[in-house]
Amino acid sequence: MSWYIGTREEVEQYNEKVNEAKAYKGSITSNWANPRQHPDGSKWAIAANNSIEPQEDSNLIFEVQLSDDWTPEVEL
Amino acid sequence: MGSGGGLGNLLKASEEFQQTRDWVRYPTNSQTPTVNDDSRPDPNGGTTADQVGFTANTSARLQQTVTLSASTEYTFSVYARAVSGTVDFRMRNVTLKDAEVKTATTTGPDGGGFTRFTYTFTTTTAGPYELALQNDTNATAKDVIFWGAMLNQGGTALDYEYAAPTTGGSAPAPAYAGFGDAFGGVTAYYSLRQFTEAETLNAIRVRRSSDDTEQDIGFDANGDLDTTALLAFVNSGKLWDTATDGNLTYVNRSSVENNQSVGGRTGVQKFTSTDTNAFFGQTNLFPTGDTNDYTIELDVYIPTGQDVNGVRTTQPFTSSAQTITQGEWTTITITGVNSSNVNFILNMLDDGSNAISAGQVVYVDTVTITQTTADGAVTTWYDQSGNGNDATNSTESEQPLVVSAGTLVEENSKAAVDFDGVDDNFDISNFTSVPTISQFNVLKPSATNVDETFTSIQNATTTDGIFLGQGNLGTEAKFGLRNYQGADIADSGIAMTLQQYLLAAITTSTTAQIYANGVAGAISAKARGSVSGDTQIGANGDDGHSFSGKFQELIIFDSDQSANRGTVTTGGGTGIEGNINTYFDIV
Repeated sequence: MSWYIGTREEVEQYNEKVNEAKAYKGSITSNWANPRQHPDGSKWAIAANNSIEPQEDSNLIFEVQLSDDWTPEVEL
Repeated sequence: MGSGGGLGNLLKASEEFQQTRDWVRYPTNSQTPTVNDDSRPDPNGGTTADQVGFTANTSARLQQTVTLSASTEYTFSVYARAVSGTVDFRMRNVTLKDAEVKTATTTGPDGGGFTRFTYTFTTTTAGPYELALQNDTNATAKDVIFWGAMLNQGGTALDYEYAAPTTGGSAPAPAYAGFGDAFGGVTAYYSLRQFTEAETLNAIRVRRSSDDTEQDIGFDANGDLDTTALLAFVNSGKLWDTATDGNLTYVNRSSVENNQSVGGRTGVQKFTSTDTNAFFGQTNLFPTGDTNDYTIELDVYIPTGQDVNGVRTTQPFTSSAQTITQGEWTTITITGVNSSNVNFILNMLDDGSNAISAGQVVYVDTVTITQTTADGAVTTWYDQSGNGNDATNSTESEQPLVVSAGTLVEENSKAAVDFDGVDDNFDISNFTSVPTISQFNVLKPSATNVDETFTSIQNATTTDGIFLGQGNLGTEAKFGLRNYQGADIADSGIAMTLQQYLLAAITTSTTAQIYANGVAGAISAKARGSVSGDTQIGANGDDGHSFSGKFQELIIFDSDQSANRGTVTTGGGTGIEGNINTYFDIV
């Protein structure tokens, strides 16, 4: 799974763009992805849709996968 | 009401509902229905009516097997009365997966307050059919007084005739016995096997990635996930279908005329070459960056006497030339088309060459482009217990897969739901009796030494929660159990590997225990912070620490099932764990 990294507003705008493009027809599915906040609170990530790119003026950064600092190890 | 010889009544024990050779009771454990025979006044003024106590299970029932003819109408009838007020029950043909709800009262017209209820059905094939008097769908315990059951041919109930019980022999085995036919009192049941034959159930709701259409998937006659229907649905998503998407619009060195008639068909498209190397099709059809495979089907008609006698795709790839007999409609199928180009373009051919002259004509009808490598994502894992605790996720990127790239996800030759370890999970309604929870998981992790959650079960009104997962506990990857209220209540001490597990966790307010494939783990206590969250499968209640691996079954009781847990032996066992192991063949 690849990702876009940016501000909360930017990742939410991207999610809205995907939702509009998909126009889900099913009775359950209604949303592309949920934004994920970095543990230090500085940035947000959202799953990238392979067929839909961010708006041209977006500052989102594409990452093939999230680095380990997004999911710190926590002992059960 | 007569009391004849039973020749017209195809049932046995028409007034002896306590006879378990004829009326088999399900579930078979402590939740089995009770029958107090001859305990109530009957419609004739005697005391031969039986009071049946249905337990709080939608599958609670008395079931009788009869052998019937093919394609024949039958009427199942019974006299019923409520103890007080009104009470709903169902008359069911389990084999036909059909039922009718009936409402008994104390003021029925047929003597003693009884009402004679009827249910008419038509058989399909000849053979055994299972008929049931069953609890209704709201899964509450209730009492119903029954007398005079009867089955006769025809669309109406004939005059009642007594039928004696079977003498000797044993009760027939059910056509399919699910977990719910043996164990009642289940709070939630998520599985890719059927909970009970006594309900028409779906296992999952699936979204196919090709067009985001959703469909419920149920079970086959063996109680297994209906993988035939599943794969047929997932692998039939149409990227293009002229029936719904309209005519092709792209022409290059050719012209198009719509709504033409030829070869016995109307409303077809006519493409005429205007130069050598003529093309037609649809541009910008395949999504940019798409890597799926497709099958293209179209009907082609080429009039006789022309040079052109075939077509091929040039985009998204160059297919082999398809030679077409002139003067008849021909269906062309091009398989394994990889969407390496966004366009769908066909090229007219003369003996395989695209060097054709102007004025060549090709008619086209019924173009479909079907994605054959779609994913099937699970939007809903249905709670089959009848308690309505369905597990859902409305977010596409968080839905685990049951079909991946057109292929069924399996573990140990049975269907499985694959969680990606990134963000896949299901939300469930919170439960009320946490921490008294017994849970039985069939799963296979795809990673060790990672902090992952299998299930997070929460109380609906407090922050009480039970968190079952794996972590690096000490120096080994082990299963663990955390109480959100402040303490690790069980660190199993069981080292885990990448294998299929039957993982049970039983917790009460004072005890906690994990069992992996029937082996009990140790218990230890550690201080922990309080965490609030939701009940989830595959995440920790806050969408975090996601599970990576395959899930096949999760059974939740909001009660202590230590006494019923049983044992596992190779290929079988006893009790709850034996039932699970017998089906999934884990040990």
